Amino acid sequence: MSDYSPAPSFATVADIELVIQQPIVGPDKIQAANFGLFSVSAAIRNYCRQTLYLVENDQVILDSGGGRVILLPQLPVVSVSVVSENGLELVTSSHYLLGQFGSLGRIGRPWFRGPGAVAVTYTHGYAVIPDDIRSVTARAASRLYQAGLRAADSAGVPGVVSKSLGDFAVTYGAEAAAEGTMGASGARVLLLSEKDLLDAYRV
Amino acid sequence: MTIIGDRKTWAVDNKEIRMGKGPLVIVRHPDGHASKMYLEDAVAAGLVPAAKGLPAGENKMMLPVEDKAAAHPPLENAGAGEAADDLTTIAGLGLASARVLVANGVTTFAQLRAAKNLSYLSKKAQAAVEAWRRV
Repeated sequence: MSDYSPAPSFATVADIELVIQQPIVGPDKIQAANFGLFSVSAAIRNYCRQTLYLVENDQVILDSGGGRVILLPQLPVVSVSVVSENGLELVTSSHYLLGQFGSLGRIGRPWFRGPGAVAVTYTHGYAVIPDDIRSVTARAASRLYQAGLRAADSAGVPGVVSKSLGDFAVTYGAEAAAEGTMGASGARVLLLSEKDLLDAYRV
Repeated sequence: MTIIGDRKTWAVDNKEIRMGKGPLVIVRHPDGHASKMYLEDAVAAGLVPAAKGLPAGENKMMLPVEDKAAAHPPLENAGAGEAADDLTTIAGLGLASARVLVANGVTTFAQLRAAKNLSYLSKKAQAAVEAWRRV
């Protein structure tokens, strides 16, 4: 649990503190919060099929179907530094143009057809993560963090709302039925409402 | 008695050759009667001025590979950000659909409104475009 992916999280522990209105103190709790951030950030990247954070000079090899436009896989495209077609380096404005939504248009002729025909080195992603992504990350990570606390409080059993000792009774929360937020392991990472927000970044 | 000569000298008239002579046209002969003739034959016989001949139809499939690119419409919008519209502003049309449209040469609202075949879009995106067109 201490080894995280090098991919940065889209929010911080301080953001979780703002959401839950509680300080997160102690290495275990900070680690749990970071794990929540890591999990949610990964889920967002997976859902959007985008890295989202800034990646400089990323090199991709693209298959070409011989059309006039090829699509760069990661958005937003900040800059394109090198484009080579079938091993030959092309010149921007003369041979290709960067268009909308990560499209790379070939000027004067279609792209050379074939698998791996086009190699592109480009910079993509957000230097500053957009507020809505950060907000979704903080809220979803807060849920994971709090679910972990609740599970820890009830000896690892998720969703326990109350317990009584005489004749032993346990009450489970009904919150899970709607969007699956109960517990640490059974929780759905992203709610449908959050996915709606993320759809603007999904390709 | 009929003398059959060499096959190579036979006049060949088949559908393929007739199709190459253009459409059938009705021509009036000097003696006043009218008949149907292939356009090429009519022009050759001086019954129809050559200028009236129809222009040869553009057949992109018959072009050599190196000329195919020239047959494509010029790349105006695929790379020119200023001319393109933000297609994601259409309700129900997401980033993925907009990228597919751009890849298929549709980068402006006008092009999208005029596009007849959008089968490369998902059913949901096609419905969104139809709804947008009706507005």
